[in-house]
Amino acid sequence: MFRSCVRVTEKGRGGMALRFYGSGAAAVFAPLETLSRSELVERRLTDAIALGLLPDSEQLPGESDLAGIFGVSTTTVREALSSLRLRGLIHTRRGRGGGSFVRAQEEMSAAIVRDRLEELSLAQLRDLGDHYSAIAGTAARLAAERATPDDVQRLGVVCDSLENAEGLGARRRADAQFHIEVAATAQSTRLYRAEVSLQAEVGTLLWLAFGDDESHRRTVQSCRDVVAAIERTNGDAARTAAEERVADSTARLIDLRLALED
Amino acid sequence: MSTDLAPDAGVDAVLEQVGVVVGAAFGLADRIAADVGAVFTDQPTVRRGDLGAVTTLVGPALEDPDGLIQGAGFVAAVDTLADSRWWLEWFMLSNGSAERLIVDTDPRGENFYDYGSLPWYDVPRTTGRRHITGPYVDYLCTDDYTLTFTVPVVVDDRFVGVAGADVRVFTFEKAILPCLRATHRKVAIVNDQGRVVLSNSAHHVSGTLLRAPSPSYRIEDLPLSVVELHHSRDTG
Repeated sequence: MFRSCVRVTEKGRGGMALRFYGSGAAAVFAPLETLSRSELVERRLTDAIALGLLPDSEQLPGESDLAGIFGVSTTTVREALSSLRLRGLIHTRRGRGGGSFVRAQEEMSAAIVRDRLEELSLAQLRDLGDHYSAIAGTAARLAAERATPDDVQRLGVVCDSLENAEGLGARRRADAQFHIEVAATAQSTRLYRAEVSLQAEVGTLLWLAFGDDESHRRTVQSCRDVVAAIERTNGDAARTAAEERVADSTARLIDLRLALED
Repeated sequence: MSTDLAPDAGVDAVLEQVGVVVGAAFGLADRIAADVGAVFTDQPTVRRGDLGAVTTLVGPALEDPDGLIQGAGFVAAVDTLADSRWWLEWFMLSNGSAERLIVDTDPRGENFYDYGSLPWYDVPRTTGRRHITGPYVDYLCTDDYTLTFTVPVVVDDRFVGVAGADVRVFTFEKAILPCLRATHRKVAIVNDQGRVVLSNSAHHVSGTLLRAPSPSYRIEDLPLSVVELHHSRDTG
């Protein structure tokens, strides 16, 4: 999961728990820039736990490693961990083999969505949707123009793994992987980075809100539509399919946000 | 790309300059392959810790201020090392120094990804020949628009992995564009998928596909050709 937790996990599991789709699936670990730093560290870790990116009983890297990953001081990390501990999201064992361990909670997703949504106005949600639509739509259009048959085949494989993914964390990662592959197929480093950064911003929200089976089925279908359009080298159809998915998600988020007012 | 492009002095200069960049990348890959191959020849079982020769070779190449290489190393074939089913002994340039690439090589891991199907690994494995992957957005290593040069490492007829080197498209362009412009023709360097690596035409920029056949000249045994561009826009 973390680039710098090799030492921790190498001992524990004889393998390395690190990120391959790192930048995408674990965009929650991108360096922080604004707001109260300890709150942001806390939020990223909360999201990662809620999404299953940090599964139950997973050991977190040490304080200084986390400080390095997030680009903050160890004091900031300590504050964030202390808050997570109070919320019961991690527990800490002292001594040999000690450290902070994830304590995942089933009911936490709904509460987090509510908190996040309440922070956003309807206009902000719409604006977020507009931004994401611009990125996802353009990435899909360019992918249709620039995909080789090999690219189309790879996108199909990624769709298959999305369809077969079970559980919130696995579905969220597969979905992130799909959109990152589309941006990579567009041959654009900038669109790829924008996608990664939007995943970090809205991905959590979308997936906490729409991780159920029916939403998953709709997501898979919309990804298949994008791939089919890319295969036909039909840029307009690919853009439309990608934009419709974002519009659909945004509308549902706004519905959810409105329901909070009742 | 069926017809031949007639090479002239300008095109010869392009071929020579491409040879310099490609030679630097494949040269490093070949040296890594030779050293890693020797380890497999000498030892009945090889572990991750036996691959120290890789960093010895790669470190100076990455840290050379005039160097062209962004990342390099050895990627083991599945089930070849005794202590890890999957392994990348790979280093990349980060803030001026060589840094080990760390990825999830535990198949149970959250972010495990089987590199067995990726072209930079799979093509040398199946063809037994060197390969150039890209240009592509390399979100695994360089996090940038990249060309990856890989060679198979074969010991006693057994494929044990690939050795390779990454060159950023940015670096490739800086090295090649001056002589491309000096041809005074509209030409592109195109890979075997028809993707433009570099051209001197705004209608056929890096990453776009050249769909219409054009007079071309294959660069040695590489999956690259120099292509004469039409005036009309036929790219994607």
